[in-house]
Amino acid sequence: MSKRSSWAILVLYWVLGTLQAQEMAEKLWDAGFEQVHVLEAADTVTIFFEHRPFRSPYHSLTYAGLVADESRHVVWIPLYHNRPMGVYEGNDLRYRPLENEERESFKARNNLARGYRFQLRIMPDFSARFGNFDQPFQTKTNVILDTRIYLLPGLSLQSGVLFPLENSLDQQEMNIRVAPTHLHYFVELRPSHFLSLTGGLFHTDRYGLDLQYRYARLDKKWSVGLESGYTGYYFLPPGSIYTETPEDLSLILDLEYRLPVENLSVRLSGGQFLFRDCGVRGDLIKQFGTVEVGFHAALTQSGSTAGFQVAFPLFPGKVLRGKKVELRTTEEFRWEYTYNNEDVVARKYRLGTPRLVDQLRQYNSLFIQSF
Amino acid sequence: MLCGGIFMKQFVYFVLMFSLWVGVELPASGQVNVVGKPGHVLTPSAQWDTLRQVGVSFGILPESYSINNFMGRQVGPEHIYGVRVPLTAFLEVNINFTRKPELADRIGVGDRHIDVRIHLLKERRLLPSLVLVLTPPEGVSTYLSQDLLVATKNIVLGGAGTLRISGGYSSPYFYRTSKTKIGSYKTITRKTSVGNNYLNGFFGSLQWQPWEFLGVMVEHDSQKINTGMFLQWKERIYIQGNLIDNKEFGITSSVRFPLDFAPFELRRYVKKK
Repeated sequence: MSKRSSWAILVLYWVLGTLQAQEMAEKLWDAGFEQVHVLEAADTVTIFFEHRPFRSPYHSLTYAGLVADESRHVVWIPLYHNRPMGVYEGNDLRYRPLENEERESFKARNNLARGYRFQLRIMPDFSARFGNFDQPFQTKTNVILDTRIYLLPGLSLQSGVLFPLENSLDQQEMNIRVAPTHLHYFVELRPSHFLSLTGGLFHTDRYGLDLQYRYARLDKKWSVGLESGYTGYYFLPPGSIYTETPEDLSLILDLEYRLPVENLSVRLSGGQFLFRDCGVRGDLIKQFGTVEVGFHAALTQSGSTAGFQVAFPLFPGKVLRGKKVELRTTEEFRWEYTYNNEDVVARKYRLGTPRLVDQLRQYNSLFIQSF
Repeated sequence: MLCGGIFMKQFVYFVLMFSLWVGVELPASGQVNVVGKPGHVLTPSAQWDTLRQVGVSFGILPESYSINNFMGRQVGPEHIYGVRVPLTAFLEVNINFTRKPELADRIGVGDRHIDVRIHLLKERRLLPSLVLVLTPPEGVSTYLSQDLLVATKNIVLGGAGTLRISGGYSSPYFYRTSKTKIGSYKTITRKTSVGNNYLNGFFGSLQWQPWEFLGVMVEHDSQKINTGMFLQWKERIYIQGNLIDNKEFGITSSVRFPLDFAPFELRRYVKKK
């Protein structure tokens, strides 16, 4: 065979390979995956993707596997908030941390402008207060239509519109207003050291700055973290914004342990909660596939309480999906019930973006491999 | 006691969310007693849900046999909502909300209760299944407490269906937290002193299920004899009529569904393939 024809064959292989990679990336994109990058080597394929419609990365990985339908060895690298989380390899989704080469390779390909759809998310927002003797029914229900736009690697803006449905909780008028809007920065400082910084308007009428740090090795049972916030009260009357100076500092340290069975985790937190309430809180969290159920008990200066929480995606998920736009229901609706209706015990505010600890729990390979 | 009607709203909201999220995933049924535990009319059984699904139940008790007696008085019939969450292969958590429709504008849903159910022994060829129910001693409505041990044995009668025999002992006492102006103090009190006239001592039941979809039962709840008959649809939805003390009518109903389902979009994709 002449030198020229062997060159031609090589080029042909390269072109075919690129076409195949492109085709796979397109298939994944059409199925709702974003920031898809397919890298082909001799006997392995490395696939980066971000998948926002599902709550649990396990299901995203499974879905991607079905859509890609690849017979070679696949190295999956799911992204969360535009950051690679880890490597889940092969059919058994075996975990390993990213290699530097893979990080660099992602950095070189990361495309914020074209890598994401404009996703509109429908999310109910429900808050309640109990124990008022004259009016025990005090609830506020809204529907939020929001989106997240990536500005820089790891940096995103979440904003939207809030439509009030009913309010017997407080004096707030039924004006259509801005939904919790904040800037969110997520980064893995060093391997297994995760940091999340959020600033802006949150749920629970709080605004300010929130910092979450967590050391979590995604193949280990223990993880330790810190949640801190510097917040104030705000509300949005028609056409204006009312804020009080932030003066509420919260600082909570926690330790979480994943029990070797049943996807159960126990978490012990302690420190200063919202409204300068010092104390401890214990959580028992059970992960069912995409649903999470937790029970908790807390003891603070303000008193004691117990309760439960559930987090689940809203049905049906995808409503409409185009090449560039998607309308879907929220991947996570979280609702917490606390038993003590008299004292405000061990409260936290909800950011509107899932907390770091709850997210990392789902990327833990012990959870992903438990299915 | 003044926990407010917010719970009713929350519960409705909760159920609504459940149904939204469950979507097309069909629930499977489990027979439960009036507080949502596997059981008969008022008594529990040691039956264990091996599918480990979440159960949601709704029961109605007639006025004279209600278990949440507001300020010691019996005011109208009582509605009991229950949620049962399996945590491990041997541990379940039960949550109850009680509601007095005739007092709803004053107390809302009423009192709530939480307890755990522990599977001590699995049913064997000769040995019965054994379950321990414990209520945390702290709480506002501890008089709804259930602390008991129960055994259940199923006997297959061939073509004549299944016979289920249960029996156990329930503590007639509860750990009461009383709040006064001076402070709160704790005492061990008899459940009967707050009008809780069931599960105070030994109880037992007998149930015959000639076909999958139908069963009849009779039980002694330690104070009185109750009977019931249930219908279930494809082991998914279940409804039961009760005759409490063989005098007054009550209802229990429940649905059961799995929590470890995949997202709808993924399920649909798998189906299409």
